[in-house]
Amino acid sequence: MRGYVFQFREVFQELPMLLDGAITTLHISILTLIFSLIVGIIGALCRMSRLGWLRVPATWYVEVVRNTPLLVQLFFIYFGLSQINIDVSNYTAGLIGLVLNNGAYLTEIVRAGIQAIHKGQFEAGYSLGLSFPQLMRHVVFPQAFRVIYPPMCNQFIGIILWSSLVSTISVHDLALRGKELASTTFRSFETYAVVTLIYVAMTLTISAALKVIGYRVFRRPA
Amino acid sequence: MPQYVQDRLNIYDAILLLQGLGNTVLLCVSGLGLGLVIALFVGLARASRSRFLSWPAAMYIEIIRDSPLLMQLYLIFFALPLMGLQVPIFAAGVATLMVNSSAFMAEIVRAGIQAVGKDQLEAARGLGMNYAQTMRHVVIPQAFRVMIPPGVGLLIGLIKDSSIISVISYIELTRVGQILTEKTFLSFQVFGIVAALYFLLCYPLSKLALHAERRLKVSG
Repeated sequence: MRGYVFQFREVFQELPMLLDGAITTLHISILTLIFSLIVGIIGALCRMSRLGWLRVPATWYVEVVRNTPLLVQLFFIYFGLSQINIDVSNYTAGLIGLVLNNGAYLTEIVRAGIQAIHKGQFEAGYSLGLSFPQLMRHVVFPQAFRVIYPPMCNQFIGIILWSSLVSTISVHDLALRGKELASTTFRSFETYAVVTLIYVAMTLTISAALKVIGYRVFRRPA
Repeated sequence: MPQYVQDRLNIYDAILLLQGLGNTVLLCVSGLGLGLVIALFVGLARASRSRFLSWPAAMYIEIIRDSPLLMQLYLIFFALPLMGLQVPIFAAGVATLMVNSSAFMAEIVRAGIQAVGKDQLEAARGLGMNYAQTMRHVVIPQAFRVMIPPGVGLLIGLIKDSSIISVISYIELTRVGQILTEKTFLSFQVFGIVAALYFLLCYPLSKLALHAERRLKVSG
């Protein structure tokens, strides 16, 4: 470390650019959470289905996604789509990759949430003459969401951190802005230190906010 | 299409893929092995009653768990030369995986230590053991058993995370995939094979973790 002088001034001058990247990161993370929750609900219903042609593909989807790296999935989608001449923006390709990845994790979270509900609830619903969609909509999901919420929040924090990988397919998120800044200022260490701290600040703030929301909504610590 | 592009994969590409797989395993095993050593100390400090030990350990764990691995990689990759250390990229990759896994492992160590009953500690003290002896002979052997299922889970995560080391051009499996894609333009096939190789590595481990967890539950 001798002889090296830390200089944060150039990095702080470009802070608005980094924050702009942070907004892209948040943007893609929130969209990922919403879409992957939808994938997760469908996936969980398929995984728990008695019909083999629904259950088996859903099970393999979860196993394959959870046992391969996100980076490889992103490359597979990004370069693969261009190989078969489907033209999507980098952002869309990144979003598809993140949604497919997190959809598998949310499938497991939603499944655990539904399985946590007592069997009597299902039986009571059916005996009241509710159809399967009605049962899900009015009985199961309102209760399951309470169980799903805490791991879903953790998953969201994970999404924010893992979304940094979309920088490798040139989505201008916080990580890529940091990389560009590092290569223009030659202050690599300082830049990445600041970028890392922005990530830490974002995740700590958001997880605290989600805890408060969970407490308010469910009247108990999430 | 440029002249150097081949339209299919050959046997040399297959060998390259296997070498990449070997390097991935090497990276993960070294990263986890070294990470475990750090994690033992950090986990003990985290479980300690002294705030001077537990707070810095908690900070270390929080910062690493709340920042992206990619940033940790860049920080380490660019920080080591600042400290006058010219290390090969392999060392930077191992250091990153070591630091990252140590934080997650430390929490597993802490949970393992805290799972050991208080009466065990009292019994050890009653036998006249000091803190180090208690840890060495009583707590850690028992904690280790509880640590195995989440530890295997961590290894799976690490194998997947090690794909990120490809961004500093270390020739592991994902980087081999990138090289072959540039050579053949067969992205679907190449990354399909790469993903399949990762799957072959991780899937048995995830089944093993599940099995270990079930056995632990049965034996209490």
